[in-house]
Amino acid sequence: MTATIHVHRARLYKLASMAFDRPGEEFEEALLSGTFEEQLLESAAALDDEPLEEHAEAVAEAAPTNEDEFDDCYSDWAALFGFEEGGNISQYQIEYSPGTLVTSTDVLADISGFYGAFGLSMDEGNRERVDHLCIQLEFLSHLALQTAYLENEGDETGIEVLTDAQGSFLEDHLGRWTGRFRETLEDEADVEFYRALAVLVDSLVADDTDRFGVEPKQFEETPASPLEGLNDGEGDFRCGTCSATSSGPTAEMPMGNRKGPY
Amino acid sequence: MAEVYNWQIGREMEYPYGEARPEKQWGAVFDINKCIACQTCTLSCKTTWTHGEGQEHMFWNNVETKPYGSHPIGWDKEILEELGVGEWTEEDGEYVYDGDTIFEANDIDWEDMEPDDDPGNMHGEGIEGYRPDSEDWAYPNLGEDEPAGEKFEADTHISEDEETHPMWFFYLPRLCNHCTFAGCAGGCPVQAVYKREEDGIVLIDEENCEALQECVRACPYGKSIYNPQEGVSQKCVGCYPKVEQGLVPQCFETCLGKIRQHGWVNPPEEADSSNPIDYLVHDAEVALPLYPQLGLEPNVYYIPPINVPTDYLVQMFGPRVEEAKETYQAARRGDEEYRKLRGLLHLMGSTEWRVEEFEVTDEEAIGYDEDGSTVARVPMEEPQYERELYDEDNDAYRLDIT
Repeated sequence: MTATIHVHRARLYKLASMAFDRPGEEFEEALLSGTFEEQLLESAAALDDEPLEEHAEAVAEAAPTNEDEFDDCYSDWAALFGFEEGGNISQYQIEYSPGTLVTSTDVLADISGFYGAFGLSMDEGNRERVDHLCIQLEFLSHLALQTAYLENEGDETGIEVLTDAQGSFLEDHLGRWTGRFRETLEDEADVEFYRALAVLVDSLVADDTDRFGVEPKQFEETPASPLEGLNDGEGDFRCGTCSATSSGPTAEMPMGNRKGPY
Repeated sequence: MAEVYNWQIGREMEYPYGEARPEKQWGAVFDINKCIACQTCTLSCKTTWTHGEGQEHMFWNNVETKPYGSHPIGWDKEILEELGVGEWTEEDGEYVYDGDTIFEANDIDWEDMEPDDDPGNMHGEGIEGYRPDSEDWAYPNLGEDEPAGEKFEADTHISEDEETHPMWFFYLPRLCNHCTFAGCAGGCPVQAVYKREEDGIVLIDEENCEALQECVRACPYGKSIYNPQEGVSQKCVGCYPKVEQGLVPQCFETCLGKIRQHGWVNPPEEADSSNPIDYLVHDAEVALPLYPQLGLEPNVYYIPPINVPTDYLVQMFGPRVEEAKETYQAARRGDEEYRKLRGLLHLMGSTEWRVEEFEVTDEEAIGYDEDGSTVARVPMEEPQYERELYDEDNDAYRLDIT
């Protein structure tokens, strides 16, 4: 992998992160000046993956190009993801995983651990939760950029650490839910720009999981009832043919110590 | 025939394995009178141990409202009905349980059912039990705060000498009892459940577990639970990593009401009066085992709730309930005879370290760890300050002066 590829990956993640965030001045400027479209297409093309390129084109096509369209985009964002209009599409990983926030504090801790391990922390004043899509995308952008830098430096150990980290982060976190996020947008949103963007992100993540050789287990849509299928009425799976075979001294209680059973 | 001596039922009983007591036994005393069902214990356990996929239904620690709450649903009613009513007889102050334990109810000759490593030899099938349905695990707070008893009028007054309340409920915090004669260990066909020699904690060895769920069936307390995601059964691990360091388990440390004391518990003939658990269980006899008649010699002991009718409590904690309640009330009243007990009740739950020895002086109750270092110190009389009713500086009367 060359440094150039990682730079383009970094740029795509960064652009996606910016685009899924609440539309602000930076994003407006990037859109209206054409930089967003230009960089998006350039980076997608550089990764040499046809579907990804097509998805990037779809995003570029649906992206706002003037101030009015940008204002509409802001309203769309608010309606889909914002609290002010009760947007009910969540941009948080935990909402797509089994369990609740209360029972998933370990997940938040793990994600924070990833950020901390690479010397990253939230911007002062930024109170966003660490499992937010944009933050996860930005984190990967950062790691990709670091990889590019180390490629240029020829730091093999450093590259290995970053490769492992990107693989693990995709496998344990981001890779597990971008598919669900894309499906949710397909089902519940009629805004082409965001739908296309979710497809692009999912495809970028899928490319990267291949690149790093990991297989994230997608969160299931409805977590199965804990014991579903176990008590199906058939019940007893024991053969019932066994009978006593031996007789002898009293059996000993299975004992062990802190290393395990004896 | 494997005969073991279960001191809680005052007699020998049958069990699939010979008697093998560990060097030390993980134990606990819970003062039910102080539990407010805030569920901090439940959540601290949940976030520590059972936050994974496949563990959604698991509460290694839960707090249920009695008599109507239970998790899994009906666990105690179910097993009590299976076993039927057994009598306790008294001889020279010692009580003996005449009914059948879960190991005896089906008249199994355990010698013919010799446990071995062959999973086909389902030797534990003879243990009386049942496997809860999936629905039974789905409502951990069913029945919460529902009272039992008679109706009472708006002007009903519960006088001080009234023994129990006409309407009542109480909270029962529960976790694995790390039983001396564990049903889960007795029932496992592949001997994947074992007891640790150094602390008596009962663990499931997940590498050997073959998901036969016999431990789920054999544990009458419903504390061995199947994880369909991992394909193994799982249970409370007694927070052994903390216990190994001399600390108390998570659910004990986080308990807001300070109702929990963790420590080692000895059989009565080896009881040590300076050990807090032994003192509460064997000396003061205020802490009683949960459903001792099931025959597992559970190692979590409860101080029974004083507002609840005795007949219900006798079924749950055995025949010593009445005396335990009286002793507890005497200690709370401040009777000199029970000063040491009162001191220990003050000391309960006051440190994250395991108190292995305690003493009560004129002024304080003091707890020591394994090395004899002081880990807790509480006053016998809580200091109280009273402010002037009238605040001169602000020319105002204070509403709260103590």
